[in-house]
Amino acid sequence: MTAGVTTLTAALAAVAGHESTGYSHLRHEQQPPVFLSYAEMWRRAQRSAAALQAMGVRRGDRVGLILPDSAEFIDDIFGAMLAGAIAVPVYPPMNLGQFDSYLANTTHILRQAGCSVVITDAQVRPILGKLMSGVPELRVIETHAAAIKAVPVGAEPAGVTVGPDDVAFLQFTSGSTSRPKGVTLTHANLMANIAAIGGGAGLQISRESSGLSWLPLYHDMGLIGFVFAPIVYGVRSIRFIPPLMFLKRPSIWLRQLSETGAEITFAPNFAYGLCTTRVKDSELVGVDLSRLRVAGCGAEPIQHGTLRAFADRFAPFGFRGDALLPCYGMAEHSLAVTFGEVAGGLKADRVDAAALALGRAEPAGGDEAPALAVVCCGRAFAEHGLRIVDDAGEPLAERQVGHIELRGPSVMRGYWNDPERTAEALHAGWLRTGDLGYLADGELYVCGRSKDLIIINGRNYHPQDLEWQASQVEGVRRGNVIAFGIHDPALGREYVVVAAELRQGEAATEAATAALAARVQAQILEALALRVDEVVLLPPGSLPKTSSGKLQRSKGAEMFARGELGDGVGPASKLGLLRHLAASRWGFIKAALGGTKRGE
Amino acid sequence: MNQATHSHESVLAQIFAYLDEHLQQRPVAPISAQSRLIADLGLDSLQSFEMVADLEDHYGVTVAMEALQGVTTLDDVARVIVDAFAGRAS
Repeated sequence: MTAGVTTLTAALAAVAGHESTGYSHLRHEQQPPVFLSYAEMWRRAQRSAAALQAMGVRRGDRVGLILPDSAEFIDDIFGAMLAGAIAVPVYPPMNLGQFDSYLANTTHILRQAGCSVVITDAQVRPILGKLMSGVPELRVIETHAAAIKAVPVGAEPAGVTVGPDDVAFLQFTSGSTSRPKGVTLTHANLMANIAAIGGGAGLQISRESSGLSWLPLYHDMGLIGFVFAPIVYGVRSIRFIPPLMFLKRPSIWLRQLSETGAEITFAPNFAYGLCTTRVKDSELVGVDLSRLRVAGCGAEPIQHGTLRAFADRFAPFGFRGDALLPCYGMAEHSLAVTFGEVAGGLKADRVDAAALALGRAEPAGGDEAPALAVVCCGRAFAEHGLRIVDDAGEPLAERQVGHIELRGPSVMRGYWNDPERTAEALHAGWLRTGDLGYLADGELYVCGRSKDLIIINGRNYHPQDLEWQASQVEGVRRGNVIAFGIHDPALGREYVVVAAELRQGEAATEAATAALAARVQAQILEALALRVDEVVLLPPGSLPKTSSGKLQRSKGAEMFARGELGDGVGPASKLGLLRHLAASRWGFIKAALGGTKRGE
Repeated sequence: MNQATHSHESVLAQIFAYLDEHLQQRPVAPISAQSRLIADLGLDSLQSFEMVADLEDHYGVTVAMEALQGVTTLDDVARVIVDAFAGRAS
């Protein structure tokens, strides 16, 4: 890091003389990537800033960015910063004609942010026409190409100074689609987090470092981790791959890691699992992963088994298991909260399943008792605070499961234009993460989201533990499982449901389905000592997902309660569902019984 | 492979055969060129991408990423595959 640099714009200016290092963008599998040096990136960002000013963008204005191309996106997010504006990255329409729900989500985000300008590309623009009526502040939707063309090559923004306390951009988080939350991050927040990520206790990033990412740039891990942080350190090279290219052909990630010799990459848990199941040996001819020093895993719950399987699967191609780096992070804390030990590999805590249900993480004894492997996410950064508290906010001892709270310079300023939910998240200097976890020897172990917790007779079960066990059963579509509990006064406890998608081609006769459901129940009973009340088996693609492809437990629970989940299930479980609905006190369930559907 | 055999219709026929083999749940309406991947066939985005990747392997072509963004129906899938033949030839 360059001393005295306190903003991202100053960080970019500091490398503006570097003509031979920078970022490269792979746009087509069969064509060479496009290389842009830091010097070129600086010139392009300056021109973008001038173009935004020419469009009437002033200091503090919000500018929506809906740009699938990584190079254009980087031009304009720095362009917005250099113009003193606040960029609002929005995910582009992924594909496949889900345009109505896409437009609704995008409208909510742009309205919440109060965007006056949206920059997009020629492909996306035609479908954005309807946005104008839904976002009162919105004056203009323009393509990147047309905006840039309106000012000459070499144009620079006029009269803006950017300070560390200025807002750098808004990171909108998934959540309820009608009330998106805009995490407000200043340059000071981002610089503090980047210093921790790359420093001596972190990834030890230097000018010689190189990275590779297929992560979407509208998401914190891709944007802060691979666009902002490398500039601050002036690293040698970063290679970007379009997210859709990875999803279509996961092997491209591994082949590109081999080709570039990149030493750092990051991805969510599901991506490691996708590679293990989809990548064929024939796609990896000549691939050498031995130069990969950090294979980070974050942004969603980490499954020990998924990462282990990845390490085993790709060890013959030089992948080093000690490169796996589990991380914990969240947008409200800029990006990263804790890192595992670099080059330390995967470390898991084997805990007693029965004790964990009571909120105690006790090391598992013999082989007979059900045990769970919880992945170690490492220590909090210097100058940052992390604590575990009970429901009353009192700090808990080590190995007691409680709410994870954070403080320090990486914590967001708040949610944009939303004092109510800001006050819920920030209290007395601490950020409530909404996640549950425990500390052991000062290291963090994350158990799950508190709102998803299934509580049975005072015992706590984390849905991902049930989901993982169900995924182990032959015939279940791995990773496409949700578990949830619905309060049931008739039972005097929560009614526990596991909804799992069947694997492609799995026989769907009533007998086969019933047998599979029984195996799922038996697996969970054996591993967690929990009896699941109902297993719902569904065709592939039935479970609700967010825009980024994450399964939505709460929505799944609502659909179940309305009887909309599991149209394919047999009459016996339908009866069970009706009996259950009649006994429940939840509002949405009553609505379902009354025949009126609850709105989104 | 002989490129002349890969008309739009023959690619569609290959897609139908692929779905015949891989689709777990029969959709309510018969599968046609106008069937939508998500709304009618119940595929999710990962399954849709997997199908395109498998078709790429079958025909030895690569579909451009930007072409995928306009894909809604099976007819669209056949079109981007046929377009990819043209890209390979040029």
